[in-house]
Order: sequence, then structure tokens, then C-alpha cells
Amino acid sequence: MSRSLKKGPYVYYKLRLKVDELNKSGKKKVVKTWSRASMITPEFVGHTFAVHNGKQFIPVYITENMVGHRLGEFSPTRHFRGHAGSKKDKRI
Amino acid sequence: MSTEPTNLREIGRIVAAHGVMGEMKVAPETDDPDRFLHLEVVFVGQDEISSSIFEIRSVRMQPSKHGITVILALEGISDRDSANEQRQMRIFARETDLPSLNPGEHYLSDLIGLTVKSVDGEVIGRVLDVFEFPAQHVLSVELSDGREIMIPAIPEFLRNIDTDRQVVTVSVIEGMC
Repeated sequence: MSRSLKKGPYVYYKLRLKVDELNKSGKKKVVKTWSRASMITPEFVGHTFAVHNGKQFIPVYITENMVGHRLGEFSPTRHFRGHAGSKKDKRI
Repeated sequence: MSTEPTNLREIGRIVAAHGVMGEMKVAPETDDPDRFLHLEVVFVGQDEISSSIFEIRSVRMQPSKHGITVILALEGISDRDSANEQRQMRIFARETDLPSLNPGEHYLSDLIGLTVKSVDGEVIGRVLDVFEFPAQHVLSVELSDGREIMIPAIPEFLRNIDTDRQVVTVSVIEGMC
């Protein structure tokens, strides 16, 4: 059973305040957070969060299809960097 | 070997033998595993220089918990023991055998070492690495003072990539540096 609708999504209150402030002022700024459990709400879309993964902050630009997920899902705590010097067929 | 090692791109890594007919499980290291279906030859080895050329006997795709696993059979490898000997080897393909880059498309490895400039033309640093994170690719940039910052590789921040001039133009917002 998912979280009760009455309670609403969990968002760390300080994070919510910072996002509300950014939305009011229209400024673009990276918001640093340790709150990996905070759910991404529609107000977060278009903002960039630096989400801590236990070691460093990973920048996450929020898009519409991330709404409903948690910030921590986009900041992996284990990351294999691959073999050094390999020229992989990966494109951008 | 009939090609320069510099013209090879890694497309996968052999993880295990599959069955008794010499087939091998390959973890793809390419954006699109279907690229294996269009290849006739691949190069197998620990690195580009020591790799040997093999003709492809058969290719098929198998869904797995990691995504897609490629089941690859090569000419000259016809039993499980020979297939097991190839474990942990890397698979390369000629760049010319892979689909060409679309306009504005770049290989991730080609970005490493490029100079990073702001939209005002000010030098910020150089690209150390490009990470594939679940949300988006992220450039790891070494600043001139030795610090490291991360910039999401999305059009909002990554304005232009010019591999000829070896320059990446980025738009940096407050809190990124």
C-alpha cells in the first residue's frame, strides 16, 4: 500500500521552502540537499538539485517525467566508472 | 589485424559462456545493442592493440535483469571451453562499421580533455570525464584552481560542443561552481 493521500508526498520542509523561494523570485540556482528521500513534486520541474550520494553532490536537472520519484533515485551511491581510456560507442 | 587500433570503438564485454556451442554472453557497452545485428566482424581482445578479428556466426538478444544481454557466436569459437577462454575480453568494432554520427552528436570519449568555456568566452577548466547517471549525462570539469565541478550535459547548460576547436561552451548557474 502506498503512502496515504491524506499525508501527501514527503518533501523535506527546508527543501520545499527553498524551491518556493526560487519559484517566487524566478531565479535559477543549484539547490544542495542531503534529502534523498524527498519526493519530486511538479514545483521542482526546471530546477537543478545537487543531491548528495554519501560522498559528493550529483547535479540533477528535474524534468516532468521525474515527478513522483525520489531525488535519491537519480544520484547513485555506487558507480562503476568503466575501464580507463576505453573508447566506447556511447554518444551524446 | 586489418585496421588501425585508433579506429576501433568498444561495443561490449564478454561476461560468460552460453551453452555448449561456443556462444558467449556479452554485456553491451553501446547505446543501442541492436548495432551488433548489423556487424559482420568484430575485434576481441583485452585492448584495441592486442585484439584479433573474428567473423560473427550469429547474434541474438536476450532480456536480462541488467537490460539486454547479447548472445554472440563467433567463427572459430565452437565449444564452451573456447568460449570460456574469452571471458572478460572486450569487443570492438570499426568506427566505419557503426552508424555515423548525426549532426550535433558526439562520442562521450571525444569530450574528455576539451577546454570548457563560459558563454562569455571565459575559460572555466577542462573536461575530466563524462558520467552516465540515471537522470542525464554529467560532465566532470576540472577548474583552473584544481577543484572539480559537475555540469549536467543537457541543452540548458551545455550550449555547444566544438571538437574541431576543442571547446565546450557551457552556461553555469549560481551554486554550480
